[in-house]
Amino acid sequence: MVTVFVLFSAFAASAQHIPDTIRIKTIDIFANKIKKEDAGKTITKIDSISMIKSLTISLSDMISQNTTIYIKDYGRGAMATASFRGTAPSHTQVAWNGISLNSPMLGMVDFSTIPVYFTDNVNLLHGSGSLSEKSGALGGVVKLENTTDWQNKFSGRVLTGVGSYGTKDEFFRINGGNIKFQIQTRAFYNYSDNDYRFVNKFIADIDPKTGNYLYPTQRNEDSAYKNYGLLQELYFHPIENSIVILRYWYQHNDRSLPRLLSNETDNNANINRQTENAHRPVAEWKYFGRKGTLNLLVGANVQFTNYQLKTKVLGSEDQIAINSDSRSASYLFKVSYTYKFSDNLSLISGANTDFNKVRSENLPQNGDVQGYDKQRLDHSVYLQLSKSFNDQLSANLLMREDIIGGKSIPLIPSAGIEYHPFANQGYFIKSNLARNFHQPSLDDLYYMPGGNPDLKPEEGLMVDMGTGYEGTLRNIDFHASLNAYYSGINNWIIWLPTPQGYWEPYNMKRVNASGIEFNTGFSGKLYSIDYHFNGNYAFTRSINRDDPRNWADESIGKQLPYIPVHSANFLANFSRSGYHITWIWTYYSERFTTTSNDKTSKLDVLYPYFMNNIHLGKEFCINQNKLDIELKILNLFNEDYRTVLQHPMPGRNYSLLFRYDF
Amino acid sequence: MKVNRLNITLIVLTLFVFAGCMKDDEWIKSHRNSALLPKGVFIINEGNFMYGNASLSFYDPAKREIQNDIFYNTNGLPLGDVAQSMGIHNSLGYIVINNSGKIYVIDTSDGKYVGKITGLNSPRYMHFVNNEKAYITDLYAGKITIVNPITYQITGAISTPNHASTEQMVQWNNFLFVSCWSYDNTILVIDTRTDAVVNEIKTGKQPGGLVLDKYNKIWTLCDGGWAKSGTTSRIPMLQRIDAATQTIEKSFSLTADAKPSRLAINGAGDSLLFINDGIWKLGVNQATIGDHPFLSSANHLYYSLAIDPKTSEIYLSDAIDYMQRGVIYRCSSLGARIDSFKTGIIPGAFCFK
Repeated sequence: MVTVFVLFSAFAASAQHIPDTIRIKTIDIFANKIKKEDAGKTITKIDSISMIKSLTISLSDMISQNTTIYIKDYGRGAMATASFRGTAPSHTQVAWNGISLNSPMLGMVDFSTIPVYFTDNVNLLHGSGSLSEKSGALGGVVKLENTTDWQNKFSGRVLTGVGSYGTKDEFFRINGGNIKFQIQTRAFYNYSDNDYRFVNKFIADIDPKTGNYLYPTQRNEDSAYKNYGLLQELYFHPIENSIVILRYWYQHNDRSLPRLLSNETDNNANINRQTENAHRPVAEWKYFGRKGTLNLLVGANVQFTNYQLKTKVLGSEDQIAINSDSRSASYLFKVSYTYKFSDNLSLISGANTDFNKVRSENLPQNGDVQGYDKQRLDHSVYLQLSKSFNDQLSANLLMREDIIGGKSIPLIPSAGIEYHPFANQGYFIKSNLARNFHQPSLDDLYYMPGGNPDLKPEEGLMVDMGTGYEGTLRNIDFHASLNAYYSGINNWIIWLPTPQGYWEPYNMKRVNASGIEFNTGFSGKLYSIDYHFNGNYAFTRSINRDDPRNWADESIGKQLPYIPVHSANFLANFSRSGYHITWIWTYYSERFTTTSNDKTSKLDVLYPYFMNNIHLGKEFCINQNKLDIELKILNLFNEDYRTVLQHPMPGRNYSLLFRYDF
Repeated sequence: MKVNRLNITLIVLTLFVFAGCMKDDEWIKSHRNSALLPKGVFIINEGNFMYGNASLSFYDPAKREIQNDIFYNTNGLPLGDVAQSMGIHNSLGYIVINNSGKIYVIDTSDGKYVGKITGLNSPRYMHFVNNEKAYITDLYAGKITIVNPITYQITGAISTPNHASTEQMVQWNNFLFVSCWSYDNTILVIDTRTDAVVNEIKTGKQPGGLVLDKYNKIWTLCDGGWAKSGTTSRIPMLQRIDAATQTIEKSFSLTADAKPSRLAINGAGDSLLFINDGIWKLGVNQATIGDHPFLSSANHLYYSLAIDPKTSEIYLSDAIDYMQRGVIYRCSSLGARIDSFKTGIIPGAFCFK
């Protein structure tokens, strides 16, 4: 009975769904004793200040501002992919309350489509630490969780914002219930004309008299975006020691990729548009027994995507050059059982079944439909033994066996160990070692044209070591951690053009990704000012160890394109009597656009990226409720910059937000 | 660790030092030097799709000298996204930038940008009919655009209903033959006096390359398209068309797994080359394609080829991994290597000056 109570109170404690104020102490995040199940893993939890500062932005912006993951951003409101520890976008798995958001078609997640508002906790499991969640995350797992507050009777939040370039943000949340039953509804709507102006120095007309260049001032045309979604959750205690959770997330995205700066097509030509609809239902049942906990989950991630490249023809039907339609669905069944032999020994066993089905078609205006319709059934079973030897030493061992499309792949082991050299102090040393496999996506295997059914899975060997400290020093909550990792990845999948004019994936022999991650933060109070700092730095080497193609190949031993060697970010937040100011700084070092890391042309390198955002605000208390007014100044120094070659980015812009919590 | 007000101020000030130095102006610092371009060959480097890193190189075979990035270095502007082809007319060079929807016009003596034709859709190739008229094919537009190569103005269009893609062009007398490549199997015949489509010739799947031999026969290389999943119904082929009767006279079938590309003809008009893994050669009077390539691929993935019309020397390009500067091999007409040099990303087309 005691165990059940402890489990319940732990569940309730982690379920503080709305931080009361932005001055909330972050100590609750770092003070937890190391769980033996997590021993050796590198886990980053996004703190509550960063969460509340990110409510109206996408997961891509939040991650680039608060973590060591590099986000490759194709423009405001456009696609954004992640590189975690120097790996490819498909190597970062995103798990939302136990279901994978990675499309089985592309293997990756577009982080720009995930609203931070729809999640309560964001945790990163770095590298080999992700194997307890799932296999295949060679970079790591971004874990998104939703929680509830069983004490809640009625509460909610309204958030409304207006911003530059005709941007409107609307968020709404309402929670109601009692100790037995909670219902939570969230919705968002987000629209932007996105038509910022810029001087385009990548094209010029020649002044017929002087011969000088005339650079045009342009607008970011045809880039409006509109996204909306609904998240409905039900939490229920049918009997005292079990919980049933039902969730359904619907989202619609409608946006485009900006045209390149060198583009001089007809204004009505080559307009691209991508429309997505996603449905994600999940049902979960947790049963807390005397010694064991049973967890059953069934869910689905169904995504419909339409991409069109078209030319508007005056007084006639649009001419559609590319019209590609896809339906990508994953149906997931998960069961796991945790048995506690004692406080110092536990065993977790689990099994997952994923049924993935993709239909992808390109429907040209003239000619045959090209595409594929394939499915794959994947199973995974695992067993994890975790032990605390004493208060200072914990270790765990995990074994996972995957059966992918009927073929079993070699056993995946993972081992972690963590040691606290000084009793009752926050110093720690930890290490983790694992093997991992990542399966090709269904597009990799079957895309028409180019898909390569002979692709081998990517195979990684990963080592992780870290040290750090967390605790309180003279009323200052302080934490710092330093990690070093090495991942040798064989059969790395890369898409390359072919002489036939289409792209084809192939297995590179090997990529070695290694690096250092440093995170620190402190918070406290000084002269009645609450302050909070958090900073990250990553050094990333992601090195091509393929066989040279011939004597002329200069890519071997070089950094992979678009992966910065240095990346850093910093957040500082001060508040006093309701007034608050937050400064967010993000930095990436130069990124190469070629595999040979050439620097001969200006197009070979993207210069280092520095971004400064400032938020200023005031919180008012009205009866029991709170009103917060915040002004965000983005790109404070009005920098002209690129994150991807030739994609225009906005200058200084503003956003005004009103948040009302009741 | 005693934190006081001064310390915090210092931390904040130090961090502001890290702010801001991303300057597009630095990036675009114009050189506007003019390159001196003697007799030789322009190499059009496609660059990566959606990267906008196409570039122009120039090779002087007499001195064995290569100049890279000449458009950017001379003009302070990037060439654009996916440079497809180039044609020279009256000492001006017309560079077709496929995914930028434009044609840059340069002075071929010094590489200077003198004008541009903009407002196109997805242009592929340009063919000069006379001093006032040129045709531009397009991958998606469903029309051939007519332009004036002197004024750079669009003067009209030839609609090609049911053929979104128009590709390469070759002219015999007043008739222009146009291959319809993407998802198509047609060669259109256009009367250049009336700008009207006068005939359609059905070919194998996806006819791309188009050349005219010394016997007034037109050759086209059909890459066979892509097999539908689970089928192997591709028949890539080389076909010969009589220009006068506008009918197919002969088809040379290749194997179902062949991926042929880049048909070229020598200056004398009697010998064809194309890439199919290795480099294959076919005399225009030959009855069959042999079993062995003229040059084996060895450890090369050949991307493009061209034949110098005057010397019959062969230029082969290898894009290596397509994400670094590619290499060009210059060979004698018999295939002996004369020189090799690096140019830009994905060297795709050649234009002899």
